[in-house]
Amino acid sequence: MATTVKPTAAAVPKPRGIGKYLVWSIDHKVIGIQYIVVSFFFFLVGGLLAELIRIELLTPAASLMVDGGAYNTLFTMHGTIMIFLFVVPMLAGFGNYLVPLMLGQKDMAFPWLNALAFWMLPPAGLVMLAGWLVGPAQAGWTSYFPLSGPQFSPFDGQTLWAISLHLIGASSILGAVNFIVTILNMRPAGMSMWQMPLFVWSIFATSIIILVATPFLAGGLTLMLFDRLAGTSFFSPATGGDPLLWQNVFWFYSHPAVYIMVLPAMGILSDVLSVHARKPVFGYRFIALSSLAIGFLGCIVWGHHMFTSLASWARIPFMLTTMLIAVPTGVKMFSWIGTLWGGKIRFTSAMLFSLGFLSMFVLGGITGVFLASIPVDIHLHDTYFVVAHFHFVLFGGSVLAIFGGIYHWFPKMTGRMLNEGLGKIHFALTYVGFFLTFFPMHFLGLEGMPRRIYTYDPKYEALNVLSTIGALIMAVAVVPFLVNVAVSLVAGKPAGNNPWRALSLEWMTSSPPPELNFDEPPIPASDPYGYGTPEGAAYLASGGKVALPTSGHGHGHGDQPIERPATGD
Amino acid sequence: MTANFAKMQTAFDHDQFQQAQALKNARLGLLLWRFANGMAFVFFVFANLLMRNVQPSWPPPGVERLEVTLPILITIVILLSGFTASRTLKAVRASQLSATLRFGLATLALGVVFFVGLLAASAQVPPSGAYSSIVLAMNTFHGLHVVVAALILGVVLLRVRRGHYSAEKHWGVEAAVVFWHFVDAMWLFFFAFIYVL
Repeated sequence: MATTVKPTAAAVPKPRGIGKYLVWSIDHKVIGIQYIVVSFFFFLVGGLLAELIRIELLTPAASLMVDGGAYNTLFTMHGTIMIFLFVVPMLAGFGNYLVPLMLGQKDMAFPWLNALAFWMLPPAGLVMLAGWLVGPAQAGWTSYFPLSGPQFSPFDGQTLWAISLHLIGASSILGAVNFIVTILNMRPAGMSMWQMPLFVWSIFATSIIILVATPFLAGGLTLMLFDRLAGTSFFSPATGGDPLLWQNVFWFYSHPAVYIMVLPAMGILSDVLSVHARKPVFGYRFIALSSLAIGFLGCIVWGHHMFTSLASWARIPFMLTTMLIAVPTGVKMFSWIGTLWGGKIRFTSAMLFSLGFLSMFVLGGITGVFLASIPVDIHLHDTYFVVAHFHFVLFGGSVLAIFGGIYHWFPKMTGRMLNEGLGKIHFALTYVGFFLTFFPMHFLGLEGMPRRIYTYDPKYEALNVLSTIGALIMAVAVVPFLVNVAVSLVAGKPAGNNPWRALSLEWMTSSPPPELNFDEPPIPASDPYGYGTPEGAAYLASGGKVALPTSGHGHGHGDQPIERPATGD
Repeated sequence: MTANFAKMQTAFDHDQFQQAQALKNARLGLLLWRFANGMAFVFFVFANLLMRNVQPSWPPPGVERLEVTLPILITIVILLSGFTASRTLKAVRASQLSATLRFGLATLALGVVFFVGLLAASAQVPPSGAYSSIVLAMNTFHGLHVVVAALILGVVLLRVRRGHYSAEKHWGVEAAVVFWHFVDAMWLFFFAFIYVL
């Protein structure tokens, strides 16, 4: 008897191995890794551009570049790629991979939407890179008018730049909706908002900022496209437009975007510090709420980027709100130091990168307060001091935390450990190279060296040479990391479920987790940071099967009396 | 057999739970989407206000204030469509599928009238640099939202005709109507800043 075989889902072979990362997938773990790998590729591209910038600046005269336009392209694309195609999507990748696991769920609230958000990213990257085919953007990552207008940027690359950012903005809005719904609606039984890992809190705060601010970027880019393509006059004063309109809307998005780039990094830090110091997070609620406070304040400080162009009455309010941000940030710093205090610190690569964040972010934060002060800012505006400041925040902050996060969660994502020796070499080279590159820039800025120039006064040469040496060290630092990842993927030590003896739910399943994450619904620990407590020890001993209620009074996390043993597992 | 039944019951409860969870997620998701989308409308008003700020008067000197008759008429039309949209949702909740379809089509028709009116009102705007730029940009932005809302409602109405929805299960209708109301409200917001203030 002839039988017709109906094609069923099982009959279509699922792509295996690397193949599943190359196709449309609605599995949040696949999507998370897709985000991480794509954005790491753009880290290498942006890094290459940075090295070219530093090589050009090795000598005061023009050496590598034929003209200033080529140099303008370098720093424009470096900044744009690093921010929009590396840091933002990299952290979204961590969020995608970790949030459902940390909440003990099978997936995000809207898996299909999640895939859609990711698949906007590669086209956005290609559109951005395609700029090189038609004359790339040269107006800086801030794209101020009239530099980005038809007069000074006649090339289509500037248009492609705006289209690419539009796609990335849409992608991050969809992602943010997905994260908030997942976090609010899909926590497991036994996990209140105050029992979520702080990384989840940070993604929650970040997503709120994205919903408030990113639509402004989308609107501003739309007006830019209208001006460039449809001959409208939003930004050109000659026809009654206002160049400050762009600056206002751009910074209304891009200042909060700084927190989009650093809050999840701070979330990574809270988790890594607590796990590797074997101490409960100090001031859990303060860390969680300070993220929301930073998010709120971050939306009302955009004018501090425009002290030199803003109406004078608006300067003082923006200065004060900006300085206020130091308060919740200081609360976080204090809490992290409190977390480390008296802990049984394991100097793993993840921990070293996190300590690197702590030390460097303090410097970046303090120079931020300098720049918030109007008289100082007017003096230092558009000098290398500003470049030093934001690289201490973004590289010394976000990037070091991202590497810390990779060393911490790589075992979960791949089932294999990274080599600690190579990790420490990676850390040492990155840390030293970073400091050598960016610390001299403070002095260059104070001495008045303007940014975004490719030739400079010979009196700045010595510090620029130091800076370029540092940049080359950072480039070398990537090599041990890439070798480490490549070797570990094939021959790394098997990780087991929970190599760091951590308490949060992502560790309560196999590494890498099965397709639906958990074989049976997991039971969250009553305190995700209860290291050194009897409940935490019992939870770990049972492999995540027994969660005792915390012995303290109800839901006190972090503000509990410190009678619990401060050290030990 | 009892055990089997219990198993079936659990599976059924699980299914119910999944559906309830999915609905809860979808509602919150749409709420957040409206918030973000609303921020984009706020952006255009913000841009409008900043552009006034650099002019000695608004409209700028030498530019005529816009004719307001047609805009008022289409505003009445879109308010009516909001009313029919509410009735569409009410009808599906009462299982009156033919009424759902009727009110839905009326909403769609009013939406088309509004859109045509918006095009006509935009055609009346003489080119005048900053003033016409922001007015036309706001009209375009809102018009695109009307098109999207109408497409969503159109697809949902096709599904109503095929009997996809019931009093218990009608998320599609609810979403289309909720988004329609959002687009209505955003027009009132824009109307105030284009024509009144």
